[in-house]
Amino acid sequence: MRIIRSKEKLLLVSAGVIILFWLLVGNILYPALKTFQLSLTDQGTLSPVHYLNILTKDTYLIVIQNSIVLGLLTVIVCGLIGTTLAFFIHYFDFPFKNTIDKLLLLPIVLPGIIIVFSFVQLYGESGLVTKSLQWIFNLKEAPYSFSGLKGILFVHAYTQYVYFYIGISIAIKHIDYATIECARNLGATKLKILTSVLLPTLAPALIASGVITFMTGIGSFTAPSIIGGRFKVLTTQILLSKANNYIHVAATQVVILMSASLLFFAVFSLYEKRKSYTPSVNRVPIEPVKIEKTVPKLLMGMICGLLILLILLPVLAILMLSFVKSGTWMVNVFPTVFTFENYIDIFTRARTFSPFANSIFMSLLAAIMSFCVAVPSSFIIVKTEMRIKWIVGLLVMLPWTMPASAIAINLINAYNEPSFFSFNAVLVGTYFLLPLGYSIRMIPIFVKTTNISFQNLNDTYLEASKSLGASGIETFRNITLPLISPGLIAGFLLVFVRSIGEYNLSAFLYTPANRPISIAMVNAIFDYNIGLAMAYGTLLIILTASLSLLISRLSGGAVK
Amino acid sequence: MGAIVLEGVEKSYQKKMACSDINLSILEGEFFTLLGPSGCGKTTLLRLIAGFIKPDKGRILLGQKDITFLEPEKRQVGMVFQNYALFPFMSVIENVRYGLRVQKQSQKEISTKASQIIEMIGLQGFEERKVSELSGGEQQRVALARSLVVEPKVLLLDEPLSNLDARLREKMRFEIKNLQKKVGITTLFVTHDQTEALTMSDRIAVFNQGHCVQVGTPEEIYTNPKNSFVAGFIGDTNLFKVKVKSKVATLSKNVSIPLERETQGNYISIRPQDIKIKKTDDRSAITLEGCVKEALFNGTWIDYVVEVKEIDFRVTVLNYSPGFFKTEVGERVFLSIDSKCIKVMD
Repeated sequence: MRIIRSKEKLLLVSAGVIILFWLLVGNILYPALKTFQLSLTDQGTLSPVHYLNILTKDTYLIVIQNSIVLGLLTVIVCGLIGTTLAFFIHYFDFPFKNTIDKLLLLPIVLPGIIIVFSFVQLYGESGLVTKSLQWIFNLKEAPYSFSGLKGILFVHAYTQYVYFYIGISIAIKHIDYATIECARNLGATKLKILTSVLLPTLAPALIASGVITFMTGIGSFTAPSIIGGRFKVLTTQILLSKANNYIHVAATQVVILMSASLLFFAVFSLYEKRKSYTPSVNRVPIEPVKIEKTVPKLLMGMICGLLILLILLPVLAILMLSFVKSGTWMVNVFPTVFTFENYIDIFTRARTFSPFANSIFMSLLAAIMSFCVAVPSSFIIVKTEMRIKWIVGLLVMLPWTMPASAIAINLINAYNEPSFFSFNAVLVGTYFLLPLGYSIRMIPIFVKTTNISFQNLNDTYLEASKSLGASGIETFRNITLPLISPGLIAGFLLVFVRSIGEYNLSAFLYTPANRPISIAMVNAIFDYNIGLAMAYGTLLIILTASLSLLISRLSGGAVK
Repeated sequence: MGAIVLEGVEKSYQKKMACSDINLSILEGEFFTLLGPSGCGKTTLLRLIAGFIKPDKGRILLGQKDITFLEPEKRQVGMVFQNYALFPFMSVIENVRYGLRVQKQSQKEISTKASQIIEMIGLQGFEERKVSELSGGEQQRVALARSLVVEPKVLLLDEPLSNLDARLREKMRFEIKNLQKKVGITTLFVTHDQTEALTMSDRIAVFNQGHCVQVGTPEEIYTNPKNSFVAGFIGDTNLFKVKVKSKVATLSKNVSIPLERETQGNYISIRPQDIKIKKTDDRSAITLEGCVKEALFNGTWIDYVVEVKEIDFRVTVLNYSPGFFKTEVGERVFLSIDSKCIKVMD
């Protein structure tokens, strides 16, 4: 830590740290502990009855089993797709390579609710692709059923391969081609090279991607709740328990969900530590193979075209359907009547505009709240030697291990009665709880981006500025701010973007006063007002895509 | 009175003494080098002078003024950092102008001074470049220009050449030295590289474990090292632990070397180029018989290792020099040493 010269300064810093702890403990640790406490009490006394209940009844057990199966299958499917794509993109050299590389990240940028609905519109029972196939091959029934486990997996495959794709892409760039040549030189066969050189090199990336995919898969809510049908998982059952006011059951299910998630995380972190290595500094990068012959070249072009189509199809579908006049597309394979009505509706009628305004306002609020917590936390973690910095680090990362359903239940449990941390107010049922949830969910990511900013803020820059005669304030304005602000703005926008189309927390915490855009979309779909839902979706896509572009530009500038 | 005077300066970190009782006086316009291995306290001393840290004891004077506890921005001390610390979001010219800008000089003055210094360091045409688009040597020059343009009273250089490759380092040695002469600024240079220190400095202070061991011109330090540390650190040498008694230094049971006069000490140092290799015993004052163990040819020089009764002597012979003869590994030879070249020390 910097030398604190005066007592006042020490006092000020201590006050700041205490407020930060009050926020972190009150909003992250205390709610989680409250849930844990509820899961272990029955009518005011300590009792394992809820656990016994859940772990002995088949109806409950099957749900737990489904969640774990879904998580594991998601890892396998996404691992295969993401790894294959990463090798495909980085092993070959072809036109538009960089564009496709960027496009492949699109599914992670779009809000989950958008993807689920676009998939329903494309591949569902009366989806565009399904109907087209039926029409082309003259089938009486849909050639496949898009619901239950298969449907959820399909959605997960489309969205969550990105974790593997990013992880493996980075790992491939770190492969030292000289080690492969060396293995050949020592007489290894191609298979041996794969198993003894390539896989161990990729292992840490595979494991890390697997962990995050599993945790996302097991915590996934949007797809199971909308297309899950009879395939029930923990996240959706938690909402059901909450809706039925079985709050102890919900708490117990949250604890079980989090335990599964954490257990997987712990086992694999241990494994990852054992398998990790420091990449060599003077590595020889892999040269992408250029394809010269005509037939493979054509094949390659087709694969790329198909990839682009698959990625863009959901977006295009939503865009097109947003212009469909409501109630006109029932029988035909393709919609026929197009109109601007849906957009005009959103912007002219208070009832349809309010979700849009609510989402924007709540996302802004969430971004501001997480800014206030993430920036000082990150400063303490990166820039000081305070003894409490590991606790801060632990607290801000805690929400990362919690599925959104768990965060929601924790907040409800903590704030459905007056509490020291909420100035004795009951927050459940208020406008404020949902944006609070958004901000808590995003704090870990915000802290991570901010950490990078503070790490870039090398002390020698500040010293250089001072040695050139700049005062503390001048140095802060001219050097510190320009160095850290791109990262901070990127983090701020990231919270905004990831909150604006959020569905999971929204489903748990929204009130009539703050109905967000994702809930409005779901309501519109259930009212068969597909055009309106898709118009909301298009607005979301435009907002998230353009802001994401801005974010990547900003963080590109922040990281040297 | 020196340009920079350090009086009994001490600084410790968690009970570890980084600088202990340092007394130095650096003259106006001098190129003064702090030389020592990493962790010897030389960078700490530089940062004390720059004002980024404050001493536990002692005083630092700049000109006649006590600056011991003055804030760094008020010291008028320019500093070039090891990693240059060029502001990454500014162009070359913006970096150079920065110091003038915070001094609130007029626009006209700022641009004249900035372009003058850019010209002086030969970076015309690079003004609008981003810092990341420059090579290591170019970044180095920008860092120099940025420090010099504000006309500081002294210039501090913290291992500025350590991030450059060998060839560039050699070139920049001359450039920095020439620039310093042209500007005439008092310069304090920190390095662990003895060649840099010897070639660039007017005077050198050798540091070891927080202490200033010896101060002198490069020649003084090279020819008359004060102790075994300085002898070993500066230049190549044969350093032997010995027992000195009645004008004889005993290296081992079988090897002893007569000394010129009565002295005290625990070590003797003989530079490898001060030892001659002879085919036959020419009966000079000090002659040792041994066997050639290794011979490394490096163009200008040949480095030999000659074993004399289980003690290795390193001998450097200038190739093709008068009286030069080439010996092979395994040959028996005689080493002849001028007793003037044997330094006895602690």
